[in-house]
Amino acid sequence: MKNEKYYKEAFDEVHASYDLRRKVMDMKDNNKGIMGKRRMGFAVAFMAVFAVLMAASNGICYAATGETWVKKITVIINGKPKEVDMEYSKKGDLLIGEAELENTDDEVVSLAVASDGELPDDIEITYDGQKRGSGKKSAEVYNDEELGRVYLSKDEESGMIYLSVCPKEQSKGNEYLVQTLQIDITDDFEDGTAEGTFKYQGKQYKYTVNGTVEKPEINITVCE
Amino acid sequence: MQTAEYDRIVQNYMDIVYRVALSYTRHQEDAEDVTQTVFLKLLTKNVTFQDEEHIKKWLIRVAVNESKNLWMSFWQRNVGGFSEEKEEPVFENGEKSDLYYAVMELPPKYRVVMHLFYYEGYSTKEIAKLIHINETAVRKRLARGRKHLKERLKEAWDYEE
Repeated sequence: MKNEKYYKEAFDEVHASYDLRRKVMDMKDNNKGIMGKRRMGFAVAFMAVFAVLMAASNGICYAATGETWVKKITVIINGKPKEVDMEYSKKGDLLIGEAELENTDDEVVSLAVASDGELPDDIEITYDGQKRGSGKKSAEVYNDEELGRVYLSKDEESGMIYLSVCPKEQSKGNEYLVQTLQIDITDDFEDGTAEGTFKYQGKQYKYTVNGTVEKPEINITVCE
Repeated sequence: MQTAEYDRIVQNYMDIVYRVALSYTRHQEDAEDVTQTVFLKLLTKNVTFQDEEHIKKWLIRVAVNESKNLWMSFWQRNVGGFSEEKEEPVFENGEKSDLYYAVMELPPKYRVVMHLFYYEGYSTKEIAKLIHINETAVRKRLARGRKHLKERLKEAWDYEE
């Protein structure tokens, strides 16, 4: 109890400033996008290369229940093999696999695998340290030879919508170096259309998204 | 969202959001950016809340997500971290200040867990659900956070398992 009290008393002295309070109150009059913010005008989150992952399937597939399959795979993170149950479900033409495993003693890794065909032996893994759970609705993938896979997802709890870019496997032997770019398009997509630009691996791209999270039309072009 | 309801939520939850953002970002200006973004999302999204607890959890969840996004956007720009501009809170006594700085020495993912547990009073299970990690990870982060505070604050911080 003493620790709680001590902690509370210290942080009770931390308050939002008067200026911030005023700015936030004023936002209701200005409505969206007129904040006096220093940055974050375009909320791009770049999921860092957190790990080099290698994945191999032993081909065992079991517990097929309706549209869900579970397949045992071995994931090697930083040289340490871990066996996980990857749960696959069909979303449109896309096969989404999700699994969780403890990486280090304090880190849980969430894996997301996307395939547009059969249960794959060679799989693409996204590891961004964030849970990809039931809250996420994956949508149709836009495939680009150079860019990789692009898809839309929605976090049900916060309501945020992301345009995610997952590159094609950058393989080095059996290792996959995985990066994911996430662009927050929540506000822009409110009317069913979002457009903008992003920089990825040294190139500038323009994107347009129409439709719904479940059935979007995504177009990506390279800016000259 | 109705203006009166927005005002009420800002009045009641602004400090909560700001403290969560500060516990993640560590810097006042970053925390202010995150706080503005959280309330902008509240304003522009049609979220139907079931009760007060739902409002609070939604705001905390968005604050954590936005703090992570901020960190990652900096990473992309090769800045290597949050804002270097520092403006620290002023404390009425040294003991409180010691605790604050000891907490801020922890990595962001530990700080958020410590804050939600010790300040907001959430259980490890609730924190796991709020920030989308498994409960074992929450316990481990708490244990490491406590260990660090015990080492830094000595007898001012009670030993906990």
